[in-house]
Amino acid sequence: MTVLLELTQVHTYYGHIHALKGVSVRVDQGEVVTLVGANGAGKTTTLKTISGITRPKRGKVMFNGQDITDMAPHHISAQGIAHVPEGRRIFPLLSVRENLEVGSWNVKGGRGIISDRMNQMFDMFPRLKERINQKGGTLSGGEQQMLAMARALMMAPSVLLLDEPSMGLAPVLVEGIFEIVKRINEAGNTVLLVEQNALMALEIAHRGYVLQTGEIVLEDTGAALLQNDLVRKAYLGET
Amino acid sequence: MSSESLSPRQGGLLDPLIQSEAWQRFSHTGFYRFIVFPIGQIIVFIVAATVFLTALAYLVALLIPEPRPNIVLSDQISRQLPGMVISGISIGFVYAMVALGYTLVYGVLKFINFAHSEIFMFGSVIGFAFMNFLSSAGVLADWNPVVLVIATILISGIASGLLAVLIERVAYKPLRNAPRLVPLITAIGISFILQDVVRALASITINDFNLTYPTRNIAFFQNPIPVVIGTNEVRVRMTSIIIVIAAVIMLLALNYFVNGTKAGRGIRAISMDQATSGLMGIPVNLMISLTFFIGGAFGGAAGALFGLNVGNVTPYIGFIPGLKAFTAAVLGGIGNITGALLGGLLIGMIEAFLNGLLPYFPAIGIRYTDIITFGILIAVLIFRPSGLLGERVDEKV
Repeated sequence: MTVLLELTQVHTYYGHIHALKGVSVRVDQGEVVTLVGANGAGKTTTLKTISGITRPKRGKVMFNGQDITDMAPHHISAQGIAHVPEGRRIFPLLSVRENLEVGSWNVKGGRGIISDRMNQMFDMFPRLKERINQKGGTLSGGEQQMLAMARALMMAPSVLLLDEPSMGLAPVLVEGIFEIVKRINEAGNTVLLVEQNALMALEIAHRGYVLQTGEIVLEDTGAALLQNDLVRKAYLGET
Repeated sequence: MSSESLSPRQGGLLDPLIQSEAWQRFSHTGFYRFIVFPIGQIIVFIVAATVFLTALAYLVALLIPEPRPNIVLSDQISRQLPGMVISGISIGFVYAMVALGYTLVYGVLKFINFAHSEIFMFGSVIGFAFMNFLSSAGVLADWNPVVLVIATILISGIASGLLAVLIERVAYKPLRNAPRLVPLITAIGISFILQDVVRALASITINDFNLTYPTRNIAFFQNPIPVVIGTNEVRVRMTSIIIVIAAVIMLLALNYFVNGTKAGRGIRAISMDQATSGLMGIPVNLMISLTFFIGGAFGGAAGALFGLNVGNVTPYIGFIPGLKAFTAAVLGGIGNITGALLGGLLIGMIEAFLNGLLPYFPAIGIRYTDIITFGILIAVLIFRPSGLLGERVDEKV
């Protein structure tokens, strides 16, 4: 397997707060990799550091053999990294169609390709097609999450960064979302998934990392982490 | 100028029409979204403002029938109404175009660009410089007036837009993460710098900073056109007509740009969520520069049209119209493009009505026009800070 995305000893600060203390993460082509950990462990910061929203003070982010550590977010996105941010962050006053069009900002090849992709998204998320002219802000939470993922997939990214896709959704919808993540991966997409719902995340992940206060404390396959005592105690609520 | 009010509301009289398939199809065509809807909106705003202010004026006439001996206020209103409406519309469009600059920049950066009034002034000075150049070359009278107006608008607009971009890059961009007060004060500083740089340049080059548009001697611009409305004859100035036509064309173009193009979509996305826009691949800084360019171009074009209308400009003319346009933007709802249009037309009309009718009140007089206009600004800020149309954000967290 080829290495697609690699963070080496990344240190990120918010002002004086040392949020990431030498995080190293590797994502191979075609994998689902998950980062699990408690609130404030640095999961979201890791994704933000990859997509360029925050800059690391030290360390290196390599993507497809290219150093993207100091690139601007829109250049990183053009390289093929799509980040679905925490809280979905769809554009509330743009219609569903316009949200998807914004996602295709860097797509070359004109309207034909964009409308083909949009149709693929509607096949995957039929609910979005029903709401095509509705404003994003009027969608339900689950629909907004679908829109956020579809918007990112419009870029046909090499790797999809998903930040807490199940957050704030009814349990019934949470399963649906993980089902979709699995399908996205089976369609050939590489996924880096950040989740509080460690159980569900580890079930669909090939490999996983456990983050604790800005440091990686464990790294293994998803199945092995599910069996790990520390993980079971700390994140799966077993006593 | 957005199509937000298109969403079908429940229980309205027009529901059968709005929900019919033919209407649904028509309402999504470009012809409707970019021509019919915005023009309809402009007409509705003008009619609504006229009806509202006329009613208000007659109400005052009812309360104070004879503000001066032998002057019946209601007669004066009837006699002056067409003239006040026409001048209100033309000055209203100028305010609306300037207000757009405030509102566009506020939309993307949540920052009031107080230097925008000087961009307006700069546009009027560039318009003068261009016409003065043609005049001193002796060819001004040979130019077709329509071509002359279009060329002036383009040159002033582009020059002002570029100046706005330059200011943003040099003065505001380095402060983007600073506390909000810092760029605000910087903008006021830039404003003073621009006034005095323009004054210095004008003084050096032509030894005078009182700039008189050479179009004053051209009959096309100066001879009023008589229009008969009922028993009244109103004399409409050609420059008023030019302002209205130019403003409507530019507003249609802006509406198309914002709602119909990729770059416009990018600007709207940035105004909602800058960080996420970057993640989608939108070049945020480029789009911010573009926003400043468009806002500056509209301000500059409005400045040139204003200069053409009043015939005489100085480096200090920007302040009051700029503040009034800011009032218009706040009245309509800062950050809202449709609001800037509504606010501009309203403020223009209010001003025209006050200018027309205050002279009949010996105790008040015409000087109170500005006081009342800025009184509106204060009242809006106290009672409805989101403005008439507000910023409609319905976001689910």
